[in-house]
Amino acid sequence: MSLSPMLSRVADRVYWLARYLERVENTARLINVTTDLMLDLPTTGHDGWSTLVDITGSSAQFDRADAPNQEQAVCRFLLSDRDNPGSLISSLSGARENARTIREIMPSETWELINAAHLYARDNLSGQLSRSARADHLRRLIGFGQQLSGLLENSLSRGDAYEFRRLGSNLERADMTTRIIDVRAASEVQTDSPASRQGYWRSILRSLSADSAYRRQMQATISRDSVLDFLLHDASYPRSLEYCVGQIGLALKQLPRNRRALAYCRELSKHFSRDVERLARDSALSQYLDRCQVYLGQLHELIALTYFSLDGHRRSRQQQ
Amino acid sequence: MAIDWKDYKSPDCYDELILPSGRARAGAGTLCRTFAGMNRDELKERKAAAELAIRTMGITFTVYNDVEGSIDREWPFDIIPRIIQASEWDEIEAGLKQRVKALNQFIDDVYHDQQIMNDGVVDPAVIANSKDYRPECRGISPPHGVWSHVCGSDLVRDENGDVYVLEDNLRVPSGVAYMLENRHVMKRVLPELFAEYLIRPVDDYPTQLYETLCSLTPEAQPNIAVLTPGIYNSAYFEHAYLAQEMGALLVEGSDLTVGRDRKVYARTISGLTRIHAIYRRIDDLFIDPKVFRADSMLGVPGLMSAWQAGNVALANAPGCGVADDKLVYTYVPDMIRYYLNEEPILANVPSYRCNIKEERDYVLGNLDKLVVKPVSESGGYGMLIGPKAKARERQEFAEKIRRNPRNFIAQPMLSLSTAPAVIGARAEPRHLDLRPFILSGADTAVTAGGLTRVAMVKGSIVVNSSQGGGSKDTWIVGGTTEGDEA
Repeated sequence: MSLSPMLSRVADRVYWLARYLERVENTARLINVTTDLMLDLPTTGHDGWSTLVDITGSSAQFDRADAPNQEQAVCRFLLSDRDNPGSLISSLSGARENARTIREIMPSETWELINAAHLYARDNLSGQLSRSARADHLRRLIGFGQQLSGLLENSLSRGDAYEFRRLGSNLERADMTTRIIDVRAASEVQTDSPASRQGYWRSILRSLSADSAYRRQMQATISRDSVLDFLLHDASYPRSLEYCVGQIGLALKQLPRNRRALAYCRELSKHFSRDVERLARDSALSQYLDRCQVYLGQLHELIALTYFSLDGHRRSRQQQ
Repeated sequence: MAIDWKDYKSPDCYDELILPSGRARAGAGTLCRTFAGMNRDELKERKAAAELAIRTMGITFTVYNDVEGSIDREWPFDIIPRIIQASEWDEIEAGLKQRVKALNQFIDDVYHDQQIMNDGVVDPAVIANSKDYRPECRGISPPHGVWSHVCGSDLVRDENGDVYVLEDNLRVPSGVAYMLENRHVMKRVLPELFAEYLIRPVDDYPTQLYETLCSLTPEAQPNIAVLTPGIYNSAYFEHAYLAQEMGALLVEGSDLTVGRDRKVYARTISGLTRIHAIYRRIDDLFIDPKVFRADSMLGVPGLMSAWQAGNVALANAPGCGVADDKLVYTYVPDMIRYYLNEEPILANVPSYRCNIKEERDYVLGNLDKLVVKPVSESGGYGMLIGPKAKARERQEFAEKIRRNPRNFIAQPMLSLSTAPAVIGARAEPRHLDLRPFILSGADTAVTAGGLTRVAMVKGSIVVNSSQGGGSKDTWIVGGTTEGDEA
């Protein structure tokens, strides 16, 4: 049976499916790592849990005043709050809605797995959870995410769907990496003890499940500059900024009408490759990461305009 | 032992599996023994396994709910399959092919010379007043003279076990994906039974549908699309399923556009891509806002023009609903004699036409014995089930009939056949029907069996999933591995 090029609408949904799934896994991992980190830190003098809200970029919706137990409130907000569009359950619903509308182009188990993950989250994440129960449930959800990645990696034909998934998950991943560094680095500045400062940088690595890869690459010492260098520039670690942007470029190369997006991608790589020495001042780092996020946002816009929007079509049709 | 067939009694109906004596019908012995051999826990386990399979496979249908809006429900499924002997089925299959052949010739005739009306076999008023007659289709000649490429005809049995056609769904019949998924679920839940029976497979349907659609275009490698109203349609699951199984594009109206060349294109990441054949799951009136309902957001402006120019095949063809009308249904046996010069193999349920005075008078005088149906509704909506209705409801309905007699037909209340369904940890009789699907293009194909729909409410005869119906896997069995039983 014949193969036609992918519908714009479907490309849009594959892309968002990938972004949502990545977001679910990142959120779950962030919360588990933060739980561990908090156990190692003194109980006062840090704003621990609420930085998580900043990382996910949803502080506008979060009502801090209304939170006697910060940990519970933040976790509820980030996990099971359906009114928070960035919560895990909202992301998973988003993934499910997108998966539902593109069932016909995904391996058939994809829908079953996403559906199962959604049911699992729905049934287990609401209500008061003990730390250990929460950690178990989140590990299960990370497991669902890994199973889905494996399924798509092994069963999704190399074609348009694969490339849009690659675009979506790498863009989300790059975005999350910059956010985690940005917010955690800002909290590190407020900490006095060198031990807890190290704890912060270790937690950054663990949030990205980069700790063992880091150790193999950079040996045991954990310092600001070497962690930064690793997460921004390591060419072989799949969550480093450089790697993600490289993947986005490779995916774009496989797609039609890619000229503008590819050119933009090259510019982006140039910006990202700035030396860590030049990011020594915290304000420089923060500015740099803000710019990264703006660029990633613009890359998203460009991809959407080229492949998803009906306006893009009208233009290309006039050119034909 | 949870199920004891000795205790099982079907109330004055034909039962598909069990004889009035409590013994199994021919072919059903192994099946009945298997279920009788399960204890309560085993039976519940199998039932739970089916529910889990349906949940994890995401087999759903969408119902509209006032509180929550559109929601997905898991597909209700009963684990005791329904068995039909191959020898009986072969005759039904021949009857369905004969019927659909005549119906297609009728539709083609309606939109061309209308000979059947000129010859006085069908009353011209029947067509002139049909809600689904489309003047825009006059003079169009779709490939092979076929208008209804996918037909779902509903079959029922009366108390003697005789099979009747209850109605022919020629517009956008749904249910075939559930037929396919029912088989998948059954294989997961009771795999051992498949070793005992020679069951005709059903899974070649998507390939046959694909071939049917291909036969409607001259292209060697046509691009095929399934046109869906979108994820909130109750049959969206099926649209996605069939598109996936056929390797076709699943499109919504906004994905398609018609060029100045009157050809249809899909909006894709490469730009515009030509589409040659569309399996449309949107009702006629919504497919093209330029021609039909201008407020339709589901359709494609210019689609009718592309179809009229022969640049795209539409299945089913626009206008084929004219034969879906229940008043037209009453003429199908006459059509078979007229066009094919054959006697009908399958019988119609005897029907009274309310537009004819004598028949209407009979209907109005016997409302408490009859089922009255609006002629162009589907899904079981708008019916009066006389014997179960209150006197006031019957009076109101009589008024409706008097006001618009063309809009109603009536049929005697059939005591639909039953089959055992697992209720709790017991087997209880539930009424059912059968919807086979008939594909017509260059060739004709009929599904092996079809979708058996079950009224899961005790005593109810409404099998529609939108109104509490469930379903069963349907097995056409016969041949070597099954011994006799009766």
